[in-house]
Amino acid sequence: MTATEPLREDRARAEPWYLPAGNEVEIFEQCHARGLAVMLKGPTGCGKTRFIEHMAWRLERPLVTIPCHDDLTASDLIGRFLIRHDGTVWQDGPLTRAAREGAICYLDEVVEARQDTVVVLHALTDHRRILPIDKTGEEVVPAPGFQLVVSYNPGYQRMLKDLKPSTRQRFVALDFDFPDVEAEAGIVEHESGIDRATAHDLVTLARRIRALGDRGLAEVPSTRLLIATALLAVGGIDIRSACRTALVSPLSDDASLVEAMRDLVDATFV
Amino acid sequence: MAEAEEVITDAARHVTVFVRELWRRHQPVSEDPTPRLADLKRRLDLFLAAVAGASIPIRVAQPPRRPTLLKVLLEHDRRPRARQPLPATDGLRIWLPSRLDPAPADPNEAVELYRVMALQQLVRARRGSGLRISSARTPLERDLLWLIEICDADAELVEMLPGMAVPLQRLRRHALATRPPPEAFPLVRRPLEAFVAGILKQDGRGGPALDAADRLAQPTPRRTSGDTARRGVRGREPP
Repeated sequence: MTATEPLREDRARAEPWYLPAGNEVEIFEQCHARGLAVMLKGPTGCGKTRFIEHMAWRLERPLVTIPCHDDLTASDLIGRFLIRHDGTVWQDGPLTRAAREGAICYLDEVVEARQDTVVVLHALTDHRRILPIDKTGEEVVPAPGFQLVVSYNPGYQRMLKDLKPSTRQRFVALDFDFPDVEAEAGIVEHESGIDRATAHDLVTLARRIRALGDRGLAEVPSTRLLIATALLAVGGIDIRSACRTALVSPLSDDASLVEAMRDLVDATFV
Repeated sequence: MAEAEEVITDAARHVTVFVRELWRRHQPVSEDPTPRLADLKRRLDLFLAAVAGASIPIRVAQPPRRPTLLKVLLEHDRRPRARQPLPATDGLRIWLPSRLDPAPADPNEAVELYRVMALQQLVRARRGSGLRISSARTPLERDLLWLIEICDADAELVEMLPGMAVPLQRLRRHALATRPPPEAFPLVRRPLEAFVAGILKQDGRGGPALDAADRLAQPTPRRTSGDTARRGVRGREPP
């Protein structure tokens, strides 16, 4: 992304497919209309990112996605002065650009960012609704259509990282979880092209493995993993091999856990 | 913020896993490659927890008590008696033998047999199989109802986990091979033993074995008057 290239929503692209699990679409539309910041909470691979892509398409807004990490600084979000051959110029960061141009700014896995970085969002998400840029003294008033959305996984790295209470209370929270069996099988079928019966078996297997969530699995298998497994199977890989490589192995290195999950795979598929 | 108890739970789990792995690494290596229950207990526990959605304790089955002299005299037609520990459940726990006897040559087969035995007991625990036969009034009636219930439970197991059909067949062949010869049974029990052998030769999907049970029960209606109980088990009216 460069400073001269305007953000635009490419309406011509295909609609990102999303199967609503409840009234999250209506709630998000209301939040967008009222300029409320939204927090998407849920386990990894349950459809948070797909949801925001779908909503950006639906609301005809550009989407600026910022993957958060430990080294993300406030300058990375807001912008910085750059030294060029003809002088020093200010370059907006992605958050500032999204605010200026009325885009939806999506901070993915916001708990990965340091808390002092996340604080820059506060003025944008309360009654002030401005983005102060301390280095230039400017106060950016977001353009109509701007919306701040963050996502995080409450179960991930819970011992080490969490959002400050003062940050949490600035967002409307939408809780995401894995859909029911039929809906999840439909998603796997749609995204991978696998037959319905195998998609159903995969989801049944995943739900059994999810029961081990409190038995040493750091993360339970996501819908994303199921789609990856199904894609391998559609490509001609034996379904058991596909499950072992795409579904079981990424989840754990604990020998007993991995063996138990492999046993489940063998027991589920003929 | 993370709750204090969550931090303690996480830390305790990591410490437990570390100590267990340390213990296993420093245990003397057994010359017998066939896995025992102790080697597979956690794996089976996790497997059952995933299938059932909740943990069910696994215990080591003990050999049956030696029959008293009175029992030998009064129940002389109940021979031969089991001398080895057998898988069992009381609906809340599962008992499995500490080792397989005879042990399969292939260690993977031993794992598979343990897995099927554990699943069989899990399904029976969930179905309340013991309660289903509690209305039997005679030993023969109880045995027949028990066999019918086992067939139904195995059919449910295969329906729930289709991949277990072949391992179930292997377990049945293993069980058939370890049963005493028919001559070891008193004459009155040989038809029942033949019926058991017939079940063990099948693939675990039910059907013909249950019809055979009905036929076996037909000539002795007075002794197998468990129609009421069987109606509950099979879900249909007796002929």
